Amino acid sequence: MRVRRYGEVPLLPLASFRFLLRHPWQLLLSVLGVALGVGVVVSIDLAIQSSREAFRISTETVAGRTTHRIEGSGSGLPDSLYTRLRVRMGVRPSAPVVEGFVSSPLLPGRPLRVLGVDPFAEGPFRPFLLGGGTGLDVTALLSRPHGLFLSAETAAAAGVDVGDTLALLVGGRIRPPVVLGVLEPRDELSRRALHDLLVMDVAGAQELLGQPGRLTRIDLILPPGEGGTATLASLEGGLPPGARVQEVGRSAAGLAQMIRAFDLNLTALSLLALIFGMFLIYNTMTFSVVQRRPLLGALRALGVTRGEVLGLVLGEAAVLGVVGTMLGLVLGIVLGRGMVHLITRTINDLYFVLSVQGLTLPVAALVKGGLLGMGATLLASLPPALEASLSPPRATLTRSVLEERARRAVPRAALLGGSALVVGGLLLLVPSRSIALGFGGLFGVVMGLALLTPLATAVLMGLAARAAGRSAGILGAMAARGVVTAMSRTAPAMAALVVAVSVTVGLGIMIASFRQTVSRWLEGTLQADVYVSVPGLLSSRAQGTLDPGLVERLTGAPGVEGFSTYREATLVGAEHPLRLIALSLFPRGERAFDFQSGGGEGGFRAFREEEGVFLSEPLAYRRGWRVGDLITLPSDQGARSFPVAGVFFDYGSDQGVVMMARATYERYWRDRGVTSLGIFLPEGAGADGVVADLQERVGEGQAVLIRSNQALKAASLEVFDRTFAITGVLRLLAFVVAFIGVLSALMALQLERGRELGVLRANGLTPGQVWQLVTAQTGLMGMVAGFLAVPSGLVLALVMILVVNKRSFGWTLQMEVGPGILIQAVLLALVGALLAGVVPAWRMARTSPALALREE
Amino acid sequence: MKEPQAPPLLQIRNLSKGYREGGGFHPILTGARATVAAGEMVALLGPSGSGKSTLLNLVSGIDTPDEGEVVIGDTSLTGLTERERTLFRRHHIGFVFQFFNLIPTLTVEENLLLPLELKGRLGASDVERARGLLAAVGLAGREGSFPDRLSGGEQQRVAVARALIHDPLLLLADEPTGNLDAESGEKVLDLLVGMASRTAKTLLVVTHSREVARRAHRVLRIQEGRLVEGTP
Repeated sequence: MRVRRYGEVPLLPLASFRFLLRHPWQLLLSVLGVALGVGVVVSIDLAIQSSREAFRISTETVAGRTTHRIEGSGSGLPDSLYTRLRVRMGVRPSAPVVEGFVSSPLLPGRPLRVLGVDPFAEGPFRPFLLGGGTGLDVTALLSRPHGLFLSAETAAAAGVDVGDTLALLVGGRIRPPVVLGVLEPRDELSRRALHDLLVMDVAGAQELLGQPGRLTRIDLILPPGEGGTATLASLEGGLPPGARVQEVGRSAAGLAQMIRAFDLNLTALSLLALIFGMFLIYNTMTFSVVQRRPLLGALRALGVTRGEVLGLVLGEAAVLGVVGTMLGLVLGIVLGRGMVHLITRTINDLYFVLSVQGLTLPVAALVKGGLLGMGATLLASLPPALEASLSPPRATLTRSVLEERARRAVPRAALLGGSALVVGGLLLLVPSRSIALGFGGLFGVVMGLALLTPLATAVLMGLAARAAGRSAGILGAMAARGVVTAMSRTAPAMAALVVAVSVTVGLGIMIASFRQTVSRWLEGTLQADVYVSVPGLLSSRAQGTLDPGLVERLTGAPGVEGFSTYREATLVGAEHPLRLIALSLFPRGERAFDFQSGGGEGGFRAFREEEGVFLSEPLAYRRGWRVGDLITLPSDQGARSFPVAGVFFDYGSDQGVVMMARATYERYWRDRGVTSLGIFLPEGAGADGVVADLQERVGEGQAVLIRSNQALKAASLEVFDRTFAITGVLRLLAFVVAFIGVLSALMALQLERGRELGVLRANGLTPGQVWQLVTAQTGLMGMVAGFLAVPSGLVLALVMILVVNKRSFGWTLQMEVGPGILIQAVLLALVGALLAGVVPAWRMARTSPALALREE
Repeated sequence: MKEPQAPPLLQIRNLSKGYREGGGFHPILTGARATVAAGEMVALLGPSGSGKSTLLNLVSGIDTPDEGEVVIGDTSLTGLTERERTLFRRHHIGFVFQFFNLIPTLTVEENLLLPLELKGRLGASDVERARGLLAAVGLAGREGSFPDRLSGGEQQRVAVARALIHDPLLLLADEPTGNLDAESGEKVLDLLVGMASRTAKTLLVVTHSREVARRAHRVLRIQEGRLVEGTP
């Protein structure tokens, strides 16, 4: 027995706190809901922040104090420009840079950035680079150009030390540069900047990366003000065609922009989990208010004001919110570690090489997650808190008033839902490319569907009551009617279940449609029988250059009917880097193109003879380019314009690509390399035998990937599946949160019926019949929710495919709806609801009727 | 039945109240009038649905009349806002409910202290007062028990003590023995009447019980929406 002492916690909050503790399952489920919701959002946020941070460090810190860069078009800048700049034009400080990515068998899965620099010019730019270390002799880089410096951390990870060779895989060849020095970073920033960085002399890097005589860029430090402006003006006049000065940050911003839509989609998906978590809180607080209506009524009669009741309920919510949010932040950090790998892998697969060292924990992200968690909790608790506080004490005392009010609210909610659907639909129809507007429309549609659910439930349950009454008697009808008579409890549970299953169905259809579209596209695009490429760091595209001798050996092999060559280059434009593929097409290879507009015979004639280019759909969508437009590309001979001869469907990259005839490319660019080959065999010839034969012809030199059409298709689909792994994880997490919500709602509903079930038990219902009644009701709810989720899921899938996906990535997808996913939806809802009924059914069946009656 | 000797504490002036049901209007009270003197105990009788609880709600300021006025002491509840009525109730009215309505998550002592805490900060003397009252209702030593450990009769005794602890002007009881067996009901009634009498509280009790009515100074009946003087 505990006696209260004067001056302790105020009594009303104390009563609330004890109420929460007396309902541990309810408390646990709601805390779990908030924690999972916050955890998912925070994990995605942290993973995105970590990838951005890694990107920022890799661009900004490596840029050092550089203010401007001179960049070339696809094939870089000539060495001589640097000499001319320093000697003739006197532009200092300036530093040449050769940059590229390689990998090492000693550091699997870690892309290594090679930075070729002039040790004597480096000082003002990146002091951390050559500023310290063991056995560091900067001149060694000059005297032994095949040597490199690397950070102590990377050296330790690779198990190498000064004097050892570090095996590097470059363009399919193993190269063994010597470790000349180990860099000891002075501070954390230097440590992160040096992570997986290999520092070489310019000449060594050129040789290693196969770019003899070419620089990636020339870094400059220009003074602010007039001095800088004057230098800029003199520079721009003196640069060769194709080269231009760019402010540091602009090119990085362009790269960052590439993954903006990807990040936004992930964030939107993660917020879904939080919304389901909000439902859980709403449900818990509504239940706790409903449960305590007589008590709250008594408090109001004793003189507790509305404001105090509001504060009381919100205070309870705040306690749940704080505990759930704290747990959510911890969960977010744990989940984030997994998410960052999934996100980095996708960025590496689809966008650019990025090496993320681990999860960064910016305080702002954690604060944002905390605020979101608390905000969502309090927002979700506001309706029940207002409900509790605004009801007059008399009404607070009667449960029937609440249900009557809930029933009256059903048509109003439906009207509101219809309006939300219309507004959402109109937002989606606005001719805009705004992704945020797309998500706004989608949110309207989801809200509309949720608000229409109670009315649809009432109608369907009415029908079900008749059918159940005929087949299972009064108890059957009771099961269905119970859903409608307890609308204050069942409506939010049904709405959450329908939305959760709809979203699962919608995402499932979207991913399946996407996969089917990509599969079909690959079938059409991969016209050659065998593909040869250099193993690259990015899965979505081939990189490096095939040895010319090897190209000759392979294309001249017996049984080869013809071949197409592909040359991929990245054009560094004024705003965004642009992918260019130069094609020399075997006639059969022309079938690979499926044009959205243009193309055809005329298009191909323009492509071959009139310097016409083909654009992939995402690129044309993003830039607003159409067939007939003239687009300007930065070539080695300066900016050149090319007519658009066709826009083709392409799912290889959401950034898009420009395709150009090889002849046109060679006219304006110096580059003569071949990135990959498509080899055509005579009709009916088996690819597998030829692959083996070609493998033998490769010999000892360059390592290349030789894959049959089918193998390449399988590899491409593997990348696709990997890309959607994170979507799948988020879809699952969101569903888990929603499921916990439904579980909690249905459990609460059934537990609340204790007295009703006690009366039935007292009147002779066996425990088995109680079990049947409870599971019949939850089963009916699941079934109805499943049926409602099918059309809702189809609507969501349509919106995601036609609007969200199109605006985010620019792809046109063919919608594919198999019966499997629809059956899955109904089963998902049914099983979920049945499971939710198990505990209450078990508890009610075991409870003595006398106890159930007395407890009420 | 005795005539009120003291000045009126409660004046019910021409009260009307009804509820909308479906498309129609269902009148409950139609011009009810009564005066209750300070220190008087009045029993309010009437069949189910006659408007007894409605009248109690109006008198306590929980509900507002369609017409008419309730005056307690010098205060007309009709002119007060909802918040003002709540605060008036907090300070000047004590309530005893049929179903006890103790706060299940507060101990017996805490239930008693709640009305005092609502009025302001608790002092050491308040705790003493609560313990004294508990002893007076025969529950000394049960301060730390939660309500669900008490019998119905014991819970209602705590409720009586809670209604009196903040020294209200008016004590309202809604069928205080309606949920108790005869013996427990008798004890609670003795306690309620005895304590109200000792502290000179004005008591308005809604009841079906002839025994309760017999103990009252006066009986009022609700007949066709009006208050009429009656006999137990």
